[in-house]
Amino acid sequence: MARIGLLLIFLIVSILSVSGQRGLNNPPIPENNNCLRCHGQAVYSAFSSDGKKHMKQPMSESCVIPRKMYQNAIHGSLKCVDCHAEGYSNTPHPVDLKFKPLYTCADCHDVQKKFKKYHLDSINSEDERSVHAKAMPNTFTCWKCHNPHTNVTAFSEQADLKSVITTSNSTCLNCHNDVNIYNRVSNKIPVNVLKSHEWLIHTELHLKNIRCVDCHAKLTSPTFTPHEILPARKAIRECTACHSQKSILSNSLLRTKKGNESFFNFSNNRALEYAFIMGANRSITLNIISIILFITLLLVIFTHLFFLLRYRKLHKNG
Amino acid sequence: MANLINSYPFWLRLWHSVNGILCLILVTTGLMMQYASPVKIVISLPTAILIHNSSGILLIISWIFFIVANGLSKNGSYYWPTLKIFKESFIQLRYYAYGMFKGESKPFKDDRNRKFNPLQQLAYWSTMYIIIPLLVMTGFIMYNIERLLVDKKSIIIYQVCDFIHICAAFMISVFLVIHLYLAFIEGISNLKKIIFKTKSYDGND
Repeated sequence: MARIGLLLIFLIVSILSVSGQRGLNNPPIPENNNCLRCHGQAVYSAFSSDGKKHMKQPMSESCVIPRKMYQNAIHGSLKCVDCHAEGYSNTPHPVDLKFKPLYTCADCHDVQKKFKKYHLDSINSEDERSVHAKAMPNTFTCWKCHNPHTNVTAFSEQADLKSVITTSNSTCLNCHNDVNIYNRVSNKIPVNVLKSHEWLIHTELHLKNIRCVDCHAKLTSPTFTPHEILPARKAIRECTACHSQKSILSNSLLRTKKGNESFFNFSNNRALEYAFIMGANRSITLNIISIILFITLLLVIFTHLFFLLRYRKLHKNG
Repeated sequence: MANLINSYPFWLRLWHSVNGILCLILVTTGLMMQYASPVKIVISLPTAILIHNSSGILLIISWIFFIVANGLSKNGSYYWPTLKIFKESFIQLRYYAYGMFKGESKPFKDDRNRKFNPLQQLAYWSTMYIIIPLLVMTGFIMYNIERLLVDKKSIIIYQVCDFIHICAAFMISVFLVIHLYLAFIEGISNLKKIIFKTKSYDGND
């Protein structure tokens, strides 16, 4: 019963995490209206070649781009034809255009200087070493995780961490929590995420308050979001990796440009915006005060004992 | 005829031993949690948490038992301090710091109405009626983190609870060290009394 309850909570969190993603709320692009008239919904009208007949057709799921999600996406300020071949300017477009190569992410992101700070060259090499690329050689692209039509960035060292976590985790859960999507790229049965993490104390809190990649990726990346996803067996299972003052999270999720200023100087204080991580969040000031006081106490006791034993010895000897 | 009074009944000696052991376990495992590090010290962090949480629940039961038993017996009256407690504590403190080295006799003798010297009375009362309740309350809130943490405000509540819990635990640690030291310098007979024997007030132990 408790397990069903947890599963329900986790499903609700997953749904909320996807629906609650931060959006950019770009203004609608008029040139995209023609495209979105069909692709903005699950059903479109197909016309005969003479234009006299038409019929309602279901749009292929992967080709549906909900308007609102596109406007909120990181690419929502672009025209469709900025990335899609010019032939798409005339609508309805010929079906065989599907077979023409599209621009890839690297066509923009590798070339433009303004993207240098995102370390895309590093992301690319991390991706090549990741378990995903090894499982899907030659077919694993950025698109598999980051749908360019709906993707919102999880990257920011100053953003609200809770929002960063839900956005980042929804990218993973889109496949790993949905058997239909998962089976598009794998013949295996996806593991029950909640069940496979039951070994964690406070499972639900961990799944809601930490990014999947913080345990499941190699944290040597110069980027805020590491991309070298490790096989499940190599994921971090040592609690103290995070629950200690030198928490690995300080180099990934909790990396910050802010100073360490908080109530009684708590270490890894950026986490305190949304959570309290035992062991990682400890008051340095309180620790120092308690150690000094304890050493003083021991010194007083040893001094007292020294004089007491001396007194008793003298007293005994008369 | 010796006037024997059962000032350390069996239930009190049993509770004292259980409470002492629980406090030692809680302080040790609490330190392991507070100073958690990738270097494993005897037991792993999840084991330390499990032992700490279980001992914490037992401490709550032990505390409730102590309060109820004190309410039903005369024992509770020995703990409650009077207004003179600070003045008397200073006299006792002077004895420990100076008088005992000059061969002075103890300033406060045990009798029918006094089982503890003023410093003991103050320390035991504040430990059992202030520090332990603070520890178990803040510990209980943190133990139920999953059910209680719902918004940003609760993070601050948790942080404050952690702060109080650590301060109170530090005070218990200080109390334990001083308590054990003073028991040690009183001699082995004192230890035997609290573990094995009742105590008489007429000197015929």
